[in-house]
Amino acid sequence: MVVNNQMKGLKTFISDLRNLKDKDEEKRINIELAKIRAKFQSSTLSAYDRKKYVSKLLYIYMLGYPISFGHLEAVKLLTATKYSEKQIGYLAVALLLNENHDLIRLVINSIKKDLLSLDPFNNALALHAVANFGGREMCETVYPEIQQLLMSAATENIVRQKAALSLLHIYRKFSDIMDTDLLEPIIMLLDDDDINVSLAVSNFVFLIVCREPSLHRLVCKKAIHKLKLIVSGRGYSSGYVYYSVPCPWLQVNLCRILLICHEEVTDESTKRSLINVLGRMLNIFEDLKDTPHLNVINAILFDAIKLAFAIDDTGSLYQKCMKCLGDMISDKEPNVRYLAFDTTAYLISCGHNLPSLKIHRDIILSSLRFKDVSLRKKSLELLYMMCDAENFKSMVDELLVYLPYLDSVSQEDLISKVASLTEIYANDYKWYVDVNLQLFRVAGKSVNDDVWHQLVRVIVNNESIQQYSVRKLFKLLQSDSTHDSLTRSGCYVLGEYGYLIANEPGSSPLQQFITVYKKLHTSSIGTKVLLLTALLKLSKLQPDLHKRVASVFKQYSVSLNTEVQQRACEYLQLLSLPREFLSIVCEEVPVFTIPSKKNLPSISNKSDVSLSDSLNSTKEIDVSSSLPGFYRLCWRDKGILYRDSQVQVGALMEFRDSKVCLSLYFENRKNETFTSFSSTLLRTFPNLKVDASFTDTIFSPDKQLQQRFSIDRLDELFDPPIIRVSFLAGVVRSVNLLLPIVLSKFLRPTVFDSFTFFQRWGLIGVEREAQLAFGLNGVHSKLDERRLMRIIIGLHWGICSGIDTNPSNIVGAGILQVSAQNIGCLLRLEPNYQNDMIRLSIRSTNTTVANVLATSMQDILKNSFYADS
Amino acid sequence: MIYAIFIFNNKGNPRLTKFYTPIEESDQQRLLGEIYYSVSNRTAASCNFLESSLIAGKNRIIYRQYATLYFVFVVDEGESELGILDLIQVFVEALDRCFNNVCELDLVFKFQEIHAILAEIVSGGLVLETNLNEIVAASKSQMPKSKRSGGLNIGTTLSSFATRF
Repeated sequence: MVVNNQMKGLKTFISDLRNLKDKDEEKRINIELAKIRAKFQSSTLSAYDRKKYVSKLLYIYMLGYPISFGHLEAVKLLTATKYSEKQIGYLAVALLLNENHDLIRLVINSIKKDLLSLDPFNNALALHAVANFGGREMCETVYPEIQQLLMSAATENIVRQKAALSLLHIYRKFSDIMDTDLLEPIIMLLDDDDINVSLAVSNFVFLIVCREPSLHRLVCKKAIHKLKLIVSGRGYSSGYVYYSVPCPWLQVNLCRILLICHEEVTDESTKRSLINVLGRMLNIFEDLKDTPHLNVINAILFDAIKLAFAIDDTGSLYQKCMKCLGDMISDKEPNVRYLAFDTTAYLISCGHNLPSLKIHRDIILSSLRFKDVSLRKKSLELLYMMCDAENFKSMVDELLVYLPYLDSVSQEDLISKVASLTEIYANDYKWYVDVNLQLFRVAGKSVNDDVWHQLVRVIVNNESIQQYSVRKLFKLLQSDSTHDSLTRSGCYVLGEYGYLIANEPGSSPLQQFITVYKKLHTSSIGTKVLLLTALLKLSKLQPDLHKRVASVFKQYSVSLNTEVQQRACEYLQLLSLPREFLSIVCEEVPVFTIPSKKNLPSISNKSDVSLSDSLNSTKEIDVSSSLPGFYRLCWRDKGILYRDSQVQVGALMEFRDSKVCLSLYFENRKNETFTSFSSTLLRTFPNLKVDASFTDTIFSPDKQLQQRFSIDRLDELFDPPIIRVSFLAGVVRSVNLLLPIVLSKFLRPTVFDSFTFFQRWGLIGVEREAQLAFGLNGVHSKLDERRLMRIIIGLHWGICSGIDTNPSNIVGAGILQVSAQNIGCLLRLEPNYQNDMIRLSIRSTNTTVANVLATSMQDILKNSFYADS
Repeated sequence: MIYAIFIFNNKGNPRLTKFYTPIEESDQQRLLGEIYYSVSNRTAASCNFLESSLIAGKNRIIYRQYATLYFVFVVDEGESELGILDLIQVFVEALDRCFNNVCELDLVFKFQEIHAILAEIVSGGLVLETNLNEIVAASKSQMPKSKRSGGLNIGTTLSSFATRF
């Protein structure tokens, strides 16, 4: 027996592998796999051998080699009588089989049997299996048994807690299987005498409060009661005291549950008792501050502080919370500091006012210097949140001090944040120019095009700072090594406004010419082109520059780069024309009318942190917060595009003839007035027009602001437009929204009979077909027939029902008008409800249209079946 | 919830991988590589958290290093960072008690038992049990009643590091 359990063969195999070099490892594994395969085929395989070989397979699998056989043997182990064999069987099934495997039915039978078994160990194995990988069929089959195990008083607690989590898996993935009447009894279990059943149930209740607002009142009552019990030192056994804190995990869970449903705390006495409990929790921190194991105390504290602020951010707890937060911000331990920053940023984003935070600013600033990329990102995020109309100047100045010490990813992040701060708050353009130039000088390589475009635009649009800017830029250009962004903006401004400083000493036209000329040799192609244009503009300053400039153009008219060559040749021609002509061509650029914020880099409070310093972040606009609304509105004409605690954006689509209109309605959800409210297009396309937009930038609570977009006709394909909404509510808030204007909105639904459809389908042919097969996003998404149909109709397809041989397939047609051309589009969609997969085929007379339609539909369909939507 | 749990050593060799959300086989190894890369490059003075978007949108990587081994949890917004950090501690202490001074080789040769212990702590991606005594008792009752074979105990034990925090 003892020898059996040790599985000597497995050990020898592992030892063997460990002694081999990498390339020999694969050889050895292939030999072993062949041996195991042969063993499995022989009819006389003992249970012990089966366990041993399956274990070997598992080890090989963990090393990263694919396993293509042995699944049946694993399933056979499930029915073994010996526990150790059964255990390996369950382990193997969990790792090797997915919920759609052919053998899953056999697995389900074994699980059902083990759930009914009287042995708690067997129950436990089966419950784990359901919780870890239960598919729809499995969950449907075993749901009654699991419910029984959880609710029956005869079940051992150790099994009940596992049953709670298995049931949670079912509720999370397939909530339709769950009896909704069962939710209330489960909430009651929060009060269970066994602390571990409570812990398991608290996970369950967390999901319930996320999904069922109607049960908030009940949950709230139970959770406060339980929290009170634990904090006052009752209702748990000593085994659950972890480093002198009772059941910390349960306390954290309860705080998180209450954070969601705290609005149900309406009566004063409940509120007071909750405040008392929280006060006690905060006191624990004071008492235990000097103990070595603070992790667990802090874990509770962070959640307690968030909850305390949500319930009452002015009262007795405020001072205590601020003190704790302050202590944690200045904590030396990086984990605590990181979470303190995170919590503070969260509180500010919820609209809480934290003036006493200012005394910690230096500590937060100094964290920018840390080596740890996570901490740096967090501190930058927090500093950005802390900015307001009063302190922005000193904040920006201080951020600039740190700029030279950062790595390139953090520099880029900091620059885009500083650029946006200066732009939002700037009332003094001189200061704005100074700050930007400092960015260029110190960290030119991390400045992206948007930032310098923006600077140029501001200079062009504000006459009062033109002379000042050109003088400054000219001075900077004279240094030997300047980065591209500085060279480009400098030379552009010099070409445009060089005449303003032409009479000052040291900046005569000739000196300006020499400065630009010097840069020409060492610059990149893109910059060279801009420099040539600047030279052309300079040439009109003084007649004797004419010749020099012409010789430069001549020199570059044989450049190997076609773009440079073309410009040089064209400019050379221009110079030979009469002078009046040149001055017309080189007239000053008019004021930019495009909204100034158009090209600013996206600023998001929650920007993803790249994994490590060396991974470059992609510079895409982050629209993630509006995506759920976007996907929904792609197939609906009316609804909420975005909502948070402060604003709500509703959208309404209207269709008149071939005209498509989108109206956005902004609503203020807070009881305070926002200022500097603006909404600007970050990404647009030529046919999109802004029909009407609010002009007021003050957004009071009783007002609704409206913005209207329209598209008369379509000349080309496009990407959905993006707007940025920003406003001041104590601090700057901004959010990017992806507008639900997609190509399929322009489809005219058409219905064909079977004959016409297939005739056209065949005519277009497979070579102009875009076909995509894909699964759904989201772990718990489930394909639903009715919803799918609504989406397809909502995407403006005419449904041709009953013409496909397979009734579950959806066939549709539509006509798209692009630049006065009618483009026919045909759709065939094959859903696979078992596997939650979709195959999408679109044929169109225009291949690009087919591709664009297919990819955008894939995107929409993938994201439209989340379990909670 | 917890999306995935990894244990690997400082050379990147996997010692345990467990997913609580379906992930394609080919992605599993890629994921392991990326997490190893980002975690192993961090210094001891860094915090134990990383934000990432490797699994199911936004999530966080929480890790802890013991001797040669990294214990990594990938979790969503619903979990407390420090709670998970302590859960890793509980996990390691449980391993330590079950194997009497656990070392990396125990994880190599007894990977099935490691899975069984983990199953007592986390189920379906959620925290199941945090009481060390209960975990050890439940795990030991399932384990073969064999004695440790002495020849295995050559690696650095983790326990001397278990109290690092």
